[in-house]
Amino acid sequence: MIRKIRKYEGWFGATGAVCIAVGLYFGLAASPPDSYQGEVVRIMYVHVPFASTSMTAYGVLTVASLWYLWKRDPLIDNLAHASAGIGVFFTSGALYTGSIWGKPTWNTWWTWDARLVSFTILLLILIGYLMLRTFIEDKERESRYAAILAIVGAVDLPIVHFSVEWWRTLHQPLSISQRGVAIAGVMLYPLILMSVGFYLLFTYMVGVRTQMLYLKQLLEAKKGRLLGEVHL
Amino acid sequence: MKGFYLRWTGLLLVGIWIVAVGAQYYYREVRPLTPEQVAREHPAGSVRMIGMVEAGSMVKEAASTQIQLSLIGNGQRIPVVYEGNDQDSLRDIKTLVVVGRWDNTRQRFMAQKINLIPNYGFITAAYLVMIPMALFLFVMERRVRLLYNEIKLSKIYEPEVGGL
Repeated sequence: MIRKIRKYEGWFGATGAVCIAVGLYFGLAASPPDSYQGEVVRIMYVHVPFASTSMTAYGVLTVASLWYLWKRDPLIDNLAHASAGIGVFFTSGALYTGSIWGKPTWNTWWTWDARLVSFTILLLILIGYLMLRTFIEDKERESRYAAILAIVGAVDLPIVHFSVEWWRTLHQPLSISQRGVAIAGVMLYPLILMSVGFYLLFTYMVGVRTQMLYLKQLLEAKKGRLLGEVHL
Repeated sequence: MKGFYLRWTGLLLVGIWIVAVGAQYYYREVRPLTPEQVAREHPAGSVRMIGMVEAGSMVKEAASTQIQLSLIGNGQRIPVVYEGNDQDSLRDIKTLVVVGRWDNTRQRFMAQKINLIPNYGFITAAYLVMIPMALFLFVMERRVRLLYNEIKLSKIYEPEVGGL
């Protein structure tokens, strides 16, 4: 499995980098400013991919946690752990870029909006997940408790997604939904390119981090630090 | 590790090139001049000028499609003749960007278009998040390679082969 990750991860990274580079060109130079938001709309080309990738990261974490509880495969536990670490980064990035977009658009860096609050809770759950993994000595218990926390925390995912539909929020409603696409084509293409690039980059980052966690554990186990509780 | 550092040096160079092209684009296509710069430099060709509409300076003749006004900024006042469609956007004490040419013979700015004030500071701040992302990835990749090297050098695979 690790060999397969090593073999194919580079393709994900390279394709992701190309998509992001082309998306950046279209987003920053080739697409027009929005009639209402002006140039600030260009922040969307990085904010939306950050937000959607962080949701995907939590989705991967949830699926991997369920899979771990079922199969008890330590490599899947590493995958879940890696997704959480990368997820923290992407979720923080989404909140950071959203806050910067909010200042010129809403005239505030932060507001107690349902989407913003539920997204911040997602970040706190991910941080809690990572903290939990440092508190428990026993590796098997650590993985099990962390998986349960991730699965319980997944209840926040639909809340984040549908918050703009369920409550009256300042955050704009879904631009791409079953009702159709509410974005002009010239702005949609850079957004899609950047989103695809971020998904590929996320896949690459998860691959690298999974290897990192696996190798660290392998090294520790082989050095005899975890002799009594080798979890590999 | 040599290939790894070469790859990241290449990525760094591409990043620097993108920043340089972006900065060039900003100075050429986006950055507006202040009235003081326009009065000092008398630029040839189409330029953007940012300033505040001086209160009471707007004059529109009934038979004309032109509006005369003054833009002020950095202690300088520039007379502007605007001939464009978006005349409702012109209001007293409003800060805006006008696009046009400096008429050196009549010493006034001939504007054809009103632009939105570029918020490129916010956009730059948002896109700066790519730097920690690249650093994060660099540190992770480097750690993975160091771990592989450590495992290789310490020959800790050997006991496993021997049937630990």
